[in-house]
Order: sequence, then C-alpha cells, then structure tokens
Amino acid sequence: MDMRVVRRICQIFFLALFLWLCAVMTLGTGWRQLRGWPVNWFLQIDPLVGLGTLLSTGRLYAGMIWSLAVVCMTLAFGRFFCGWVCPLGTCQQAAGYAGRRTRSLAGKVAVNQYHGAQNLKYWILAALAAAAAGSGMFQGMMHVPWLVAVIVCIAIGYFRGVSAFYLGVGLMLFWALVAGFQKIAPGFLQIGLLDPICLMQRFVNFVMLPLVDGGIVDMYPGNRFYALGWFSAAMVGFAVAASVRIPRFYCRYVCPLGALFGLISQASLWTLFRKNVQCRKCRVCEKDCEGACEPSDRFRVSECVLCLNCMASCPDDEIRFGIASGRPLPIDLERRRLLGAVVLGVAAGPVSRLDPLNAAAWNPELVRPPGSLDEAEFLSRCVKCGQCVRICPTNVIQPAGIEYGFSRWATPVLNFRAGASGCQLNCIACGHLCPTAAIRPLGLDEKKTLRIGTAFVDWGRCLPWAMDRPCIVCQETCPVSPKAISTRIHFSFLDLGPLAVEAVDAAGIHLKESVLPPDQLATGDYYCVTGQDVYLRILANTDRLLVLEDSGVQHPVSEDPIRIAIRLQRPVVDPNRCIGCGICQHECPVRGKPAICVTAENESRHRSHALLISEPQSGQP
Amino acid sequence: MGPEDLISRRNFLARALQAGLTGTLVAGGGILFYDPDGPMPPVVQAVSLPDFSISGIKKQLCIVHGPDRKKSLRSAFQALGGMESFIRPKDRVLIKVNAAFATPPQLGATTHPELVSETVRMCIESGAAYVAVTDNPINDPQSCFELTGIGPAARQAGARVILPDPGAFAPLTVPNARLIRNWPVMVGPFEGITRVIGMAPVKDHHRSGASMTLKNWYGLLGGRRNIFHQDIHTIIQELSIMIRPSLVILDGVAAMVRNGPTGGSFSDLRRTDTLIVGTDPVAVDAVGASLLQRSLDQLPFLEKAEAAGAGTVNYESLNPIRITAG
Amino acid sequence: MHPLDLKPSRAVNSSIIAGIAVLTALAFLGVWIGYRQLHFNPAVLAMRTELPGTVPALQADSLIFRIPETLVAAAPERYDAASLSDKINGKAELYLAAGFRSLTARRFSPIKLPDQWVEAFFYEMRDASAAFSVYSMQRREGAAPSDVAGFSRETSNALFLAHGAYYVELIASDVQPPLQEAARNLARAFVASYRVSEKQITETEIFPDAYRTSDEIKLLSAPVFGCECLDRIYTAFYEIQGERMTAFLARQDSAKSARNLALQYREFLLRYGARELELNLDVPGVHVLKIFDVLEAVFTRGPYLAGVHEASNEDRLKILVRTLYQGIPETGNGA
Repeated sequence: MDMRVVRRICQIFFLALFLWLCAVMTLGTGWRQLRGWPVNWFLQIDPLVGLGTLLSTGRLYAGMIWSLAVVCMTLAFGRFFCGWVCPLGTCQQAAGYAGRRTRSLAGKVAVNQYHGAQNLKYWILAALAAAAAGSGMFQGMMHVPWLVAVIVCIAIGYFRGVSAFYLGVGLMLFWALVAGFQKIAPGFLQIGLLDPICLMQRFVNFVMLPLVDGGIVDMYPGNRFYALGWFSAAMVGFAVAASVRIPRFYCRYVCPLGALFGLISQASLWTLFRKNVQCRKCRVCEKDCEGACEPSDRFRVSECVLCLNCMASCPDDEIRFGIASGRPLPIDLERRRLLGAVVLGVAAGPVSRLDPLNAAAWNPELVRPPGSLDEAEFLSRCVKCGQCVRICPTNVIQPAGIEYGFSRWATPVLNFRAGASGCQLNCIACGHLCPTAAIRPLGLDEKKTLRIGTAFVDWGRCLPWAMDRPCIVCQETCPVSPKAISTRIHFSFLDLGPLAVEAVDAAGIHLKESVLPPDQLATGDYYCVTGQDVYLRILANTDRLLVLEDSGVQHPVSEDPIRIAIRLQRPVVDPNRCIGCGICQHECPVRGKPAICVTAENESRHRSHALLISEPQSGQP
Repeated sequence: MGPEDLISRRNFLARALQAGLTGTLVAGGGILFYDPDGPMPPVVQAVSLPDFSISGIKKQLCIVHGPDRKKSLRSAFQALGGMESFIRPKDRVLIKVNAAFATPPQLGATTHPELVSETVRMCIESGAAYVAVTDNPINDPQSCFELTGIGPAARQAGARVILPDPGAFAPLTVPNARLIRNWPVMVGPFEGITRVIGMAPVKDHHRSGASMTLKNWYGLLGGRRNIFHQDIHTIIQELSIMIRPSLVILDGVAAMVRNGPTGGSFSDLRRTDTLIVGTDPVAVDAVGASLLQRSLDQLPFLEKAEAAGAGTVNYESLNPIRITAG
Repeated sequence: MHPLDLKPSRAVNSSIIAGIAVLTALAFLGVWIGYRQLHFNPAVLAMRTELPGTVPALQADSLIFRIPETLVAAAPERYDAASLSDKINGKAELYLAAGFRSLTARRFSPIKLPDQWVEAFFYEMRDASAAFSVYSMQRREGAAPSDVAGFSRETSNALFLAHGAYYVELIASDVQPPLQEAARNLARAFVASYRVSEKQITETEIFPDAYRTSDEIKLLSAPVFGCECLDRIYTAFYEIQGERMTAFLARQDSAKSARNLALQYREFLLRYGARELELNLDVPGVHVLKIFDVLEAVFTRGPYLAGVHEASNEDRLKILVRTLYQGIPETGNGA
C-alpha cells in the first residue's frame, strides 16, 4: 500500500472534518447544526493552544487535554500533524503541488531547498511563548513538582549540550516562575495570531462561511457580517498564495505550531532516514519534499512533515521510516537570536501593560460576551479563534478591531449595530463554545442576571426626551423581567400657543382660527389642556374642531384659550435590572447612533466598573 | 546493507527512553495542570477584621476643655487611668489618622500632627513594640502625609508611616452588610496589630452632615469608594461594625463648622477648645456633634451605628469625665 | 535488526499494516465524532427550553394592525399566562389548557359614538389548531356565521373569530348596528394585517356535507369522549333518518400513528366493557363496538383517524361511516 495515498486520504478526511465542524456552527438541533458536534476539537488537539494557555493561566482547561495525545504521537512519529492533519498545511500542499507541477525536475528541487530562514518560526514560537509566560498568573505553579520540572529541564539542557529545546523550555519556565512572584505583566497571549488552526478557524468562520451562507446553503437567517474579515482572508490567502512559489511557505517559515512540533520531534522515536550515508545524490527525493528537510543530505527531522514523497521517489529505495541509529540533526537556533526572541516576547507583556486601555482608560465601548472573565484574565485565555463570534445566533458578537488596543485584535466584542438583535436572554452559546474558557460556561439562571453592561439613554437623541415624539420602543423590547426600562409621563405643549375657543357643543370644541393639522391629533397621544389645567384626550380633530374624550369634566368655557399638549412616555433605565443585552439599542429607531446605548459600565466581571452600591445578592463582584 | 541500517540495542533503548521520558514529562505536566472545570464565578469571601476593642474594661469617655492639644491629651489619659490601661507592653499599635487632603494642618481638614506625635510618644512610653500611622487619602498619599505634617511628626516620634499600596488591599465582607461586600479594604497595615486608635478632627461634611471618628474609617476603603456617597449613612453604619477600635481621639479644638470636609479657610473653623477621648466611637462622635451644634436628626449615621451595636449616642450614660486642661 | 525498520522484503507488509492502522484510526475517530454529536451541547439545550412570559410578551407587543380611521383606540392591556385570570376570571383554564400564549385586550370607540366601545380580546395561542380549539369550544347562543374570517360567527353585539394562531373576541358595549359594523371593520382590518397560510386546518374541510347539521365543527382537547389518549379531535354533527350522531376526525403524523391511536381507543372502550361487533362494512379495518346501549365506530384512512360516536342504530351507523370514509382524501396516506 502506498502510504502517500493513505496520507492523502488522511489529509482530505481532516480537511473535510474541519470544514464540517465549522459548517455546523449554527445553534440548533438539525443535523447540520451544532447539536453535540465537537466543534472545538481541532483547537483542542492543537498543542500550541494548550501550551499558550498553560503558560498564561497555569491551567490546562478541559478539552485541551487532547493536545497531550498529539504531543505524545509527535514524540513517536514526528511532525505527522503538519503533513497529515493540519487543514492549512493541506491547503498549502495543494497550492504547492499545483504551482510546481509544470516545473522541470531541477526547478522542483530548487524550490524545496532548505533555507536558513526556516529558523524564523522557532524564534516566533519563542517570542509568543515567552510573552504568554510573562503574564504572571501563575497561582498554580508555585508547588514543588513544578520547580522540579524546571530544574530537570535546565539540568538536561546543561548536560546534553544540544540544549536548544530544553534550555528554551527551561528559560521560559524559569521566567514564568519569576513573573509569578512579581506579577508585573498582564496576560499577553498572542499565539492565536499565528497559530494555523486559529488562523484557519478565523478564515472559515469570518470569511468562507459568511460568503457561502445564504448563497449555497442557508445557515443563519439574514447576512452575517464580520469586522476585519478581509484581514483573516489576507493572512490565509497570503500563506496559500505564497505556497504556489514556495511550497508550504507558512509551515516552513512562520508557523509557530510547526516550530513546536519541530522541537518535539527532536526526541521522536520513528523518523525518516537514509539507509546509507553515501547515496548517489541524484536529489530526486527533493523534488516533492514538502518540508524542505534535505532528505538527500542531512535529513533535518525537525523540518520533515512526513509527506513521505522522498520515500516514494528515491530510485534506489534508500529512504526508510523507522528508528534510526544516531541522533537527529539538532536545530541550530543561534542561541543569541533565540535569546533575543525570548527577551522580545517577555518584554511584550510589560510593554503592553503600559497601554492605558488596560487600566484607568479602559474602553467602555468594549462590551464582552456574557461570562467573559475580567479583562486581564480574559486576554490571558482568548486565542482569537472566533468560535463565539460564529455561534452567536444574533451576530452581535464581532471580532474586535485594533481600536481596542493591538492585543485585543480579533477578540470578541459586542456590536449592537452590526447584530441582528442584542444578546439573547436565553442564549448561553458563546461560553459553552469557548475552547479556553475566556468566556466561562454559564448556566441559564446566572446568564439572566449577569450584567455585561448598562444601557444609557441619550436625552439629546431620544425621541420623547429631545423631540416630543412618542416612542418607547426600548421599553417594549426590554427582555428583562421586570423590565429594566420604565417610563416617566411628561406632557409637552405644542408650538401652537394658546388657542382661542369659539364655541363648545356636543361635537367638541370649535376654535376661532383654523390652525390645527387636520386628523393628526387623533393618535391618542394628544391632549387638550383647558384654562383650568384639565387634560382631555383628543379623539379626533379637523382644522378647527377638537373631539375630546369624555372624562366627566366640564368642557372649557368659550372665553378660555386652550393649549394642545402631547403626552410622552420617556424611558428611564434602572441600572439594577439592566443586564446590558443591548436589544434596546438595536431596536432604537434612531439607527445611526442610537439614543440608548450599552457601555460596559456596571458589568459584572469588573468590580471596579460597578455603578451602584446596592449589589444583587448573587455575590457577583 | 550499510552499518546505519542496523540500530544497536543500546541506541534504541536510549532513544526510546528519551521519547518516553519526554512523553511522561509532558503528559504528567499536562495532567498536573489539568483543569476540567475552568474558571468559577467569583465568590464573596467572608473575611473581616478582628475586634480591637479592649475587653475587660468598661466603656470610658473623657471630655477635656483647653486650647493646647498636647496638654489636653496628656490630661485626658491621666484622667482615664493613664495610657498604660489601654496600651500594654509589646502591643503593636496602628493609628488611623485623617490625612485625606494635602492641606496644611492649620486648616483643620486633617488630623493635627501635634496630636499624632504626642499619641505615638505616649504609646511608646507605655511599652508599645511598634506604632504605625496610616490612611488611604483622597489626594496623592505622599503629599498628603507630608503637607499635613502628619508624616514627619509620626516619624519623628518613632512611628512608621504606611502609605497605601495595591498589595495592602483585600476584598472584605462585613457580615450582614449590604454595601461592604467583597469590597477592597486596606487590611495590610492591620497585620499583626493588637491595638487600633482612630484619630480625627471634628469637621462639617456636606454629604453626611459631619465627619468625625466614624466617618474616618472611610479612609480604609479602596476601589471606587465614592459610589458609597449614594448611601453615606449606611456606609458609615457598616464601617462602624467593620472595625471596632481600641480607642478613638476626636480633636475638637478647632472645629470645621462649614464648607467641609475640605474647608480651606480659617473662617471655616471655630474655636471649640475640646478634645474627646473614649472607647466608644459613637459616644465620642455624639459629643462632637454637639460641638458642631448638630442634632441627632441631622446626623442619622449616629443612630444607625448605635442600632448596629457599635456604641451609644447617649454619651451621658457613660458618665463622661469632664476636665479642663491648661 | 530491529523489527520496526521497514525492510524491503517486509516493507510491503509493514506499509499495509500501517496504512490499515491509520485508516482504522480514522474510522474510529469518525465513529466517535458521530457518537459525540448525539450528546447535545448545553447551549443547544438551553435554547430549546421554553420560557413562558418572555417571548410571548414580545410578540404581544408587536400586535400591530391598521386600526380603521373611524375608530379611536385606547391603550392596550397585556396579559400573560400568569396574569390571564386577572382579566377573564373563571375561563382562564380553558385557554391555558389549549395552549395560551398571551392576551391583548383593547377598547375601540367609534369617533361618532365616543360613549360606546367595542372591547377586543386578541388571544394569541400556540398554533392555529389551538386557536380553533378555543373558538370551537365556546358556543354562543344565537350565533350566526360571519364572513369576516374563515372561522367566524357573530351575535347581535359580538363577533368571534379564529385566524391563524389568534382567537379574537369583539364584544360591543351595546346592541347597535354602528357598533357591530365597527366590530366587523376591526375584524377585517385584523385579518387583513395578519396573513396566515391557507389550509392550516384540513379536517374542517374533510367532513362530508351530506347529512351534516348546521352546527359548527368543534376541536376538542383530551380527554375526548372520556378517553385520555384522544386529543385534538375534530367533531361534527350528523343527522340521518332523524338520529343525531357525532362524527370525529383527526389527522395524525402518519398512517401508522393513526392506526395505533385507533387501536388504543378500541382498547379503551373494551376496558370499559364494550363488545366488538362484526358488521358487514366495506370500510377496511373498521372497529365497531357496542358499549352500554350505544355504538361506537373507529377506523383510519391514511393519516386520518375517524369514527362515529354514540349511534343507536347499526344501519345508520354504517351509512355515516361509509360517508365519512369516502370523504377522506386517499392522497393523504403516509405523509
């Protein structure tokens, strides 16, 4: 059996599975809806997501335990994930295949040569991991086994000389420990920026599915919009397009996950190797070498993605997959540059802390999905995968732009104008979908009282407050029970001024002059105010006749001028009840910049954002 | 068949060991940090400060008339049986002053430095092993302690000045309280303390009516504490049971009768030439209220504090000692 | 020589084993994922939980239609399941049992008659058949069919109609032609604003007209004829040779569930002492039972369950069963 066929089946299987798990990301029980599909599975088997959140939080959250299995399999077989599983790898491989199909043998060999810049990905990994470790949230790391692990790593690194891997890990762990004591830096988890699974997840969630949705299949009613979708498209597009000229460009030069696998593969048991040191150097094996790992020369195990093309193409059948004698070629990480990358990454945390958005100048527009942890801890968990954004049934969760600070790019933020409604009272989807618990899973009861912000009425824009027009759409749509929006009755006089009365009879009040807009005062909101300050509802009118409701009060005598008033119900928000769902903001007839807007004031996740002293007894800070 | 084709048993074992060890390390580490439940909703902790009131002695109150703070203080404690009856040898004392504003001491918006230094000295004379002075001021802490003269006076007399730092605050919940629930309170300076003395001037306060020894505990609160101004009397009531001091000293030598709590002008002050020392902060403040010529109805927090069990507003029931000094 | 090294002689075997192992692993993974998706995510379950009070309230708020210009509308009052009995004391249970969602009550006065009004009760029900059910179960003395909606009737001062998921009562404050006209206008305006898909209820069309009395068709909720298993059953009255009989009809999800229901009903009758009769009837699968002194018949055709209730004479029963059977469309089977 040609193992390359098996590999291709495997790649197609996982790509299809990945796309399927993205496609079912709509809330519901239909066969192509969420049901119980393990839609986070690819993120959970991704050891970089596991390592990143472990470094930044000190915990390995639930499903991340899957990634341990992948690490162990890598220890057995090398970078099988890159060549056999990774959907971005598969896309690049297809592009690369198409790109070099027409090239000559020499041309094919030329594009698959190892390049020193392939070390770049290790430095990227080092910087990202160091930044994550610098976050100083290491409550769980103070116990003895952890210290032992650090010492063992450093000792192995010292005695083994190879050291790049162990020294790197040791350094990071040591830093983690120091940072834990000093707590100087907030979470700076940015691995999601470049992790291929997060990248693909964003691409499919924010770009592919919204384009397919409604056109080919119907997933969500109405269109879906995602801010900065073009950027996700550009990143994946560039990776794939570059692969046409340089096969697996992203895997070779950029991918931090590939770098992590490369490091682990240094200890792999099974590897590809050449039987004889001396081969004919025909270099045919390099014509389709996906990893540019020099199979004809030194066989860089850390670069090999197990495409097995070399094995199949060697005319002398010299290449084997097995347990090689001797050690794999170590990665030369150029210790200084590695150190530089680590320092850069470590510095990124404290530098990002300097952003005033992290503390006093927090952006009140940043309304996070319900269940989000407090901002620092949220950032130390969110990997920007976009799962919450995609699952949100109302499209109100959007990827953040850079206006909330660089470190918050693509993290979820509520945009009540973009959504089809506000945050639904009975929906707990985002927390139950978040692979890292940056949004913790809520129960329905907690969800209904959890505040993500507070609605504020803008008196200058609100129709009943500013323009004497009846409205209260916000009050009607408030889903909280009892309603968080109440109304205050206010009578406002029309510009007509006092109107002289000519006669009062059974039909109603006849005015001296024809000044009334015919039939326009019959909406039930208009009142006739008599000289004695009696308010009588207008039932109908012509230009000079007012038909009034009979309230048992004497109609005004003819000499008293009357005035016309409109009865307004002006909305007032009760901050104790308002949970910040934003449905009022979405429904507000003032569409462009709504007259009622939710900001993060009083959100449950931050005690310091509290607005009121009387806390509900639920104990939410 | 070349030599590399064969892998020696020793080599195989070494590589298998390496892979196995690394695998065990990774899996072990992963399981060690495994967190199946994820982050939990934050919970309210039932932390509270210990009771610093002196057990075994009955409540005492002394009202001293006289313009000289130092003399009044000395004679008050003499009348009460000496500082020794409150501070035992090896006691660790914390003095909570009012250093809220960076204004000179003459304006009466803050605790007078003379009183601070004299109290510190008397504590040390009584054998206190450690005396500290602290507050979480509204203005910049450093300048508040320096400009009010409290900082230099305390240091000179041999006390440590503790400025607030973020690590000193911990969420605290007053049992059965409505407002102080899981709220950051400056508990750091209280560590290892056995006696707590509250020291405040008599001041008009726009929101609460008067700021005296009870309102002075407000300075222990951290966070966005100004939201408590929405319900000032309740917060003072809760503060009165959050901390039960060993004794309080109320400085009514020059009472700020208007424009409080900042004052800013000498015309805001009135000579009342009174110093009150007592173990019942509610009674002490009730005496202070009379200096401001305010009734209990104008200062609801006093009766609220009494209802909460922090003391009595009927200070005559404590048989106050009235003396004149200097 | 290590066994794991793929030798040329054994390479073929090894690669076959490895390939099969990988593909088997994929198959297992596929099976696991297929199994996993059966365990619904809590988010999906939360969404399915029906919460009374919240959603209906919103829908009630959106009860908006063009009020005729000749009428003045008062503020609407809204009631949910919890507060319904505040408005209609005593009859709330009837609505709640049938699938009540919300009630909007509103008074409308003709401009020319400001002292009089028509009080409108818009009952929003779970679905069209629930609305029809509450409509059909409340008989009004002296009511005549009306033309304002598919299911509507009126008395001298009231108008009742079922339209889509709404059951509407319009009660005038006095017996006056202008008020009744206002009620009709109001009903027409409401019906025009709320378009419902045609043929939501098929049973009412199926009852054959022959021998049928002018009485209206009813939709009954469980227990129907004392049997707990019969729910949502349409009934109509027939008169053959002077005898009044009740025919019943109900569409089920499938022919199979209709047959099961027929058997359940038969079991129910047998349990209460009925005796099965063998009648020569050319209706397949019909069960005729005699209980006390009356005859009961039940049969199915396609997804329809049908039968005759309380007949006294075998011949007349036969006529009605046959008529009813022929009235049921044949195409309806299986669906």
